[in-house]
Amino acid sequence: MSKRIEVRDLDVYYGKFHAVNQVNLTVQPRTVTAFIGPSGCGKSTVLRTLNRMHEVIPGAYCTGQVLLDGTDLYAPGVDPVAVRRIVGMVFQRPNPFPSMSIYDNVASGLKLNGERNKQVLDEAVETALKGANLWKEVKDRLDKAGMGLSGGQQQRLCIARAIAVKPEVLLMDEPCSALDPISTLAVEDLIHELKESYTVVIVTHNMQQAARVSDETAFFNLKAQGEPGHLVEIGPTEQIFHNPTQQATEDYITGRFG
Amino acid sequence: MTTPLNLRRPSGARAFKNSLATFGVWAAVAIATLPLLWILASVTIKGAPLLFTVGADHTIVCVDESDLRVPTSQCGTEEDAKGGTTRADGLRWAFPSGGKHVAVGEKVNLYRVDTAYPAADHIVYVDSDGAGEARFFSLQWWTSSLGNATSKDSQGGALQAIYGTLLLGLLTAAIAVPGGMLGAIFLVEYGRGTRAARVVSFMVDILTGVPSIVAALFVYAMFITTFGMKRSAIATVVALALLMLPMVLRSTEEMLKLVPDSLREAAYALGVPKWKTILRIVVPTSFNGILTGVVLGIARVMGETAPLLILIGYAKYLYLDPFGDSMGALPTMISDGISVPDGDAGSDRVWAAALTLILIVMVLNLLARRIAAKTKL
Ligand SMILES: Nc1ncnc2c1ncn2[C@@H]1O[C@H](COP(=O)(O)OP(=O)(O)OP(=O)(O)O)[C@@H](O)[C@H]1O
Ligand SMILES: [Mg+2]
Repeated sequence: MSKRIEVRDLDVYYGKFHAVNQVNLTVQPRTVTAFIGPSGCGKSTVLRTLNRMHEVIPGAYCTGQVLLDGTDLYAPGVDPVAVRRIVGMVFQRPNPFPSMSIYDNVASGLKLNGERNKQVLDEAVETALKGANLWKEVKDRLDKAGMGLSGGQQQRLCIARAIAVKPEVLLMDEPCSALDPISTLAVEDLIHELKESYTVVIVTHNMQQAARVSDETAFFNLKAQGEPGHLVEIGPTEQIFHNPTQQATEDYITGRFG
Repeated sequence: MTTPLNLRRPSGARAFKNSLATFGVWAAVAIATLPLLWILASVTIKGAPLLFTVGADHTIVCVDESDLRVPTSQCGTEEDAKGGTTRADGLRWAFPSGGKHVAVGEKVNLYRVDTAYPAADHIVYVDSDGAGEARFFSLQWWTSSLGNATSKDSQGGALQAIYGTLLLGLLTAAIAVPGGMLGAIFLVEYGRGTRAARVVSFMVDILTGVPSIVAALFVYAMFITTFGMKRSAIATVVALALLMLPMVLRSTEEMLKLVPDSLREAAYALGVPKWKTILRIVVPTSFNGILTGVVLGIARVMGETAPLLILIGYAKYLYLDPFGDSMGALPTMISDGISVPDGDAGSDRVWAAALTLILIVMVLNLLARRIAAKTKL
């Protein structure tokens, strides 16, 4: 089920702007990998190259390879739509579909990909909402608008929507930045569960969160504003937090950054 | 060191400025609204009696030899009227709003109740069947065409014009709505920043500025002069579509632009292809706005007169065929009747046609709101 991700010599650009320089990393299947680093160093950018979401932005492109179980996502002939079906994504800001009910939001991925069976949809919606720890709050108003939920509930709705399609890999860009501590814990528990069957990559600014949920941690940095960001080091979370090989990593983690 | 906070309302010059600004806004609203209300009120007051009949359908009044109205009592009682009594003094029963003379007891239709005398005083119900029957719609206005009624006659409806306006609006929308929406989708979703998009955008700008009469002349030159086709409702529809297309396109474009990219990305991230994202996420999200633009566009072309005058003219009889060379419409009905002297039945019809047009647009608007409210979950 879950897939190994290998990133080789990845350079990412926004038009002429060179955003990220030479990233090489491997994400093992059934692990959680956390991306940490200062704002603007390119964590989101790298994450978005993993499901070919980066190229959606006009003028944006990247060079290098991203291998999913050995298959290059950027090889000619690869359909980005097919890639995104396998590699799902949760965004920093909750973005439920405003024209849809709670139910339809969660079911949207399946419905839009052709699933019509009501029973299958019902089950998938319930499982996904339970998985995102939202079921109890919304089970009586599934037909109400998704926009009518609180910010934190909306984010969990988006997580439910992402896991309802059962991707192999789940990318999460600061998924908890809009959540209260209880919902955050719920999502972290969820990440632990997802790890059983999925490969998870999560961007976070919260060191404790990275320490709590991740097996591996990658630290990104940038030399100066306007310079491309780069990967400083990646290793087991335990080691990155307690025994980093790079001085920059230690400075960042201990808060002596900048 | 703490300085006291100043939380008082502004006073003096600044307060004056504030209230002046508020006053300015209200004044602007009033200046914009009052003439509008005035127009609406006068159209309604003058047009309503033909559309809505409250009271009897069959009435006549009492007039003297020179057709001047006199109190009903002088013509005798209602019973006299029904009984067909003839009077020696030259007073007679007559149709109230035109020169048409009526025999006592004859069945006639009333469209206009003259207010020179209190209604109860000078109106006599000739036909006992229709007497006092209150009905909201004047059926005749909506169900029969004008036919050979002259400007003096009060009979005859506007069916041919209502049909024409609805048909022209519908056919125009059938061309302009898909065209405009596809154009907008191309500009926003596919063409952003490309040369093709700039070209399309430029053409739309030009098209937006084309006066309706020029669009009509263009179609005339193209279809009728060059290809030798005859004037027809369809030719009119082409000209109207040229006017409506840029409106729909621009309004749809603005609405699509308002849809945040995060929604498109959310759909992409679920493995949904781009075309499906547009169809199922982007368009439904902006559906209400698009619908509003479409309704405004239809309202606008339904009121167009110039293309109709050039490409179809005006007909008083009901012709159903959109390929035929005759069709009535409300704007041309208005322009046809505008030279009729004030006070004649024909001049009432002008106002009634204007009111009908306004009502159709209003109903369309309400319908759109209905649909919009239904689609919003
Ligand atoms: N759409 C874009 N167009 C142009 N440049 C962009 C775009 N998005 C990001 N960038 C640039 O790319 C660089 C990396 O941005 P990115 O969003 O990946 O940072 P990040 O590490 O995720 O930061 P944060 O922690 O604040 O989310 C920044 O210099 C940013 O200005
Ligand atoms: Mg980011």
